Amino acid sequence: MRYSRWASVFVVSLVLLLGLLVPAMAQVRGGTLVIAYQSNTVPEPDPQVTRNIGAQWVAEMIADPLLRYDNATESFVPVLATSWDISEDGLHYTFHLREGVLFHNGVTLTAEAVAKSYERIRDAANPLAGAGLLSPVDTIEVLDPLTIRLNMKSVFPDFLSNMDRLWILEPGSFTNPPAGSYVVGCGPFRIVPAEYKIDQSMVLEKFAQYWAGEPYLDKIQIRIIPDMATALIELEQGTVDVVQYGSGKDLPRLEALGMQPIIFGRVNWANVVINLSHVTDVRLRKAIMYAVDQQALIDGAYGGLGDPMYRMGYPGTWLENTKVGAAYDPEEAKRILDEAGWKDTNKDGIREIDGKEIDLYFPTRNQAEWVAATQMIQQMLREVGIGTHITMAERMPFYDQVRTGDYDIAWWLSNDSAEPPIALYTWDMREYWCVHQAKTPVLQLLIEQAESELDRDTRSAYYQEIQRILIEEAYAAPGMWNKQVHVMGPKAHGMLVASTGIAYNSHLWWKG
Amino acid sequence: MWGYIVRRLLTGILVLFGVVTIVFFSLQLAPGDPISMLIPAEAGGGANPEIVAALKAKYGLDRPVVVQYLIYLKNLARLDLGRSISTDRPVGEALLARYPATLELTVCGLLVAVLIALPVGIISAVRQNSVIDNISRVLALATTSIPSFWLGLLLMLLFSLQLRWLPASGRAGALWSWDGLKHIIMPAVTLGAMATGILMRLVRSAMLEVLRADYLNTARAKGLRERTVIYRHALRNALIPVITVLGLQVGTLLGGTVVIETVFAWPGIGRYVIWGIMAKDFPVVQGAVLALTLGFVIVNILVDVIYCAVDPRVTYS
Repeated sequence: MRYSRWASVFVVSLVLLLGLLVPAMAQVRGGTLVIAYQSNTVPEPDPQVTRNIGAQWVAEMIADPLLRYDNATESFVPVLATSWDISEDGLHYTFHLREGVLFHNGVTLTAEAVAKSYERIRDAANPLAGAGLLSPVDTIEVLDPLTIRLNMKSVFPDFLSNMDRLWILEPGSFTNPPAGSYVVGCGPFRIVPAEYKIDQSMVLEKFAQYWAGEPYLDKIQIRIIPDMATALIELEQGTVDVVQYGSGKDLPRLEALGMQPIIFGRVNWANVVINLSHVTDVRLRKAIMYAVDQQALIDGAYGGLGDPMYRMGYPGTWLENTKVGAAYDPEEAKRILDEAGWKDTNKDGIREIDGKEIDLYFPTRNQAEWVAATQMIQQMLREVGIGTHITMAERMPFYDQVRTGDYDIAWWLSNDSAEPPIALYTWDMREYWCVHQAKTPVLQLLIEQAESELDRDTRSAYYQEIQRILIEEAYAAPGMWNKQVHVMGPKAHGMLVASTGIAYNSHLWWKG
Repeated sequence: MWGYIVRRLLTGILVLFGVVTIVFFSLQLAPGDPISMLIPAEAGGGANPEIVAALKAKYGLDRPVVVQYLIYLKNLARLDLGRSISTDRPVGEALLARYPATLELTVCGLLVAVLIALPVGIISAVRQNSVIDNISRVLALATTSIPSFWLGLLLMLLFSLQLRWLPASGRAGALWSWDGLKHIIMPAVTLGAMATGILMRLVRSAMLEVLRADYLNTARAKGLRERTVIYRHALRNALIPVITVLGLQVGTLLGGTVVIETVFAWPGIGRYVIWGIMAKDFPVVQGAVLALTLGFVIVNILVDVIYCAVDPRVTYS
């Protein structure tokens, strides 16, 4: 009896132990993960000069920032900094660095290296891609070998949001680089110079001394495949393991084939932006706002990836103003237009203002989902009697067209930082991508007050007021909180993706 | 002959100068600011006017357009094509790295076109209105009208995904290696298809015209075998217009690489120029168009020289 009891305890313990061990054992060491990269050149070998999200994936493999925003906990988590203090007046950020972190060339991480990395990025004579992220910083002080302080020009409580795209490099590698060498980070992988082919692919090999543990994968290959259809064929063929930015419409088919989608997003958004210097009548803007069927757009153009957006504050967060909103209501749109006296007198389906048919200029970007959404919105607006005409342009010409005001309305996808969780930067008059084409001093004052206020309740009040103005003045038609997707093949595992789309924790990726 | 070649080279230089000038100013007229590429709209802000001004100054985009043009010409005279605004790398280096891939693809595409068009065109002419002639007519129509990106994807679905015989994309190693050959088959066939139809029809019509000529009847009357009549007497004369069109087709194929290189992830200039256009990266577009034009000019000078050599009626004057 006693024997059998001990035997039972032994068996149960063994099962529990195996249960604990199996997931760990499942992670295989070795192998090469192949990522399809949709561009025409491989990412820059220098993380600090990367300018797009796709390239920032690779930057994240080569180098680490001080901290990172964690989607799951909705908080900032340590990376190269183990902790940080923010002074009570919000003007001083002190970071305590991790001890014993090695760069790929064997040099140890110090506060000096962090300071030099930041100074390089914000060099006024040659600003790098992240210079804007450091623009709130006035001076940088090295307090001791493992402590650095950033002194702000003014209070900027969201500064930590800027820091996860500021990668730290070993200063010797960018100040006096040996010929043919690349800059050196302290990330889980390092560039293999002989296999860096700018027009084809780049190969990263594991850095066994990585501070968070030896990476599972031996290598990661980044292969340029500009065409999505080709990349998906390679994924199905098994010659590629990960495809960045798949289409929601392909997901059911790919999932049936055993592919693994990684859906991500937070403050990734899409709106119908409105040129306020052209569409000056708030009644017309409101009619546009109520005519847009957000759910239909998500289902019709984006394969169901996304959530309807009713206001600019991200749902369920500390600043969302649930008292205001713009849900799809075509009858309300028609009522507003009727009340304004804009009727369709010639019965062609389009209303007239002062005898002239409403015909809004609606440029779009030459990309399948973008075009589909634009055409759907055109139809939605037509149903309430608003006419539009569409033109198509490539990515950058389209963006610039909207930025410089050559449009009446436009479908616009973008993303803000994770904190504060609000779709706002296109209304900030200080921004390069401020697209609304009008001076909005009250809104601007509120934006600046909100971003320089330490007390969260007061900030929330500012942001709620901003949302009220945006909806009541119908400065844009809220569209969707869009979700995006990366697709992993059946053999790839362990990838985590930040809200921006950047995949991280590459030391824990593995291939089974 | 040398005088003729020098004259043609000088004309070629004038053509290049014209292309450079047109491309430079048409890029200035196109909407958009190249600096926008450095501050992507998708990245969620963070760019203030001081940073934008600093970036413009760095790439000389804050200067008047005419000054930018003169600086570009001055640098061009020193074979300096400038630096890409997007990557901050020398454009000349990037073009040199990519030109072999484009050249390889164009030559292989042309080879595919000639290898199909020549025999099929000859047989179609010799057996006019036969089943083969009718099939070749359909084939010519199909290869001319099917969009190359679509043909490329169809080939990929069949040979890469279903049969798993060929890699879907990329370029691997030397062309004479098995791996290199496997990688170029589909891009070359897709590219070659663009020229196959036209060449096939041209060979057929040129052959038909020659086959009716009196001197061929004389050759037959002399008792020569039909094969000798066709290949030794008819084909050589029929090829004269084909060579001219072949030269022009090189231009079509060089232009066609823009699509094929994107679909098959082929690391050539075509893909580079598309990327430059989308990014509004002035130096990249200018450099790539210049390189493609240079290739076209050189091939056509060569064709003119060969033409004179092949056809004794044409002289170097």
